[in-house]
Amino acid sequence: MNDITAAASVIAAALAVGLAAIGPGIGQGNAASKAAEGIARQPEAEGKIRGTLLLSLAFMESLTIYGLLVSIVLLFANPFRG
Amino acid sequence: MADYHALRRRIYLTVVVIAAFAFVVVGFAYSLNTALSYLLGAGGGLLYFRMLDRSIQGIGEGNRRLGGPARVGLFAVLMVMAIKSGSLEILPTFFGFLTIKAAILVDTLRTLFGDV
Repeated sequence: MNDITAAASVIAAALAVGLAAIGPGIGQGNAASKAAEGIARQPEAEGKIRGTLLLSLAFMESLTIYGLLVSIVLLFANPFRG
Repeated sequence: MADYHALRRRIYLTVVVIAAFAFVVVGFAYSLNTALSYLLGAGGGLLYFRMLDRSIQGIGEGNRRLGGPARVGLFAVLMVMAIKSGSLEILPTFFGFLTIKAAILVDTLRTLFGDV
């Protein structure tokens, strides 16, 4: 791998994982705070609220994971390696 | 909390069923290495879901954190392991990891359309 490709790959990997973490991070924070609020208001609905939170967090975090996958592939299995 | 525990149990069971079925199909259609890569990913996905479940159970119990690098780090370790090992493959491991999402989708559809 030449120097320019290596440098571009490292920058792209950092951008991929960094940018992919912003949206889900905000979303997860919002979802968790609203869930905690909901549980405090309606303790009898705790099971349903936690269940919905589990499902939504699993899908939100997968967005970060896609970015992480791209960055791992760029760093360890770069297809543009010469 | 009974609803939540029932949901967890259903999802774990669905993941195990899907992973076992996919392991057999991939083993016959491709190779044992590919099937093992898939199984490694599915196991990692199950572990990831368990960690997520633990942190959701901790909400409202004092100063437990929801985020943290452990879950995403688990995925990174899994993928680096698949890349570096030489005998494992990247794509089946990733699809194995995504089995948990498929299980969640199946469970959501089952909830939407009722048990058939």
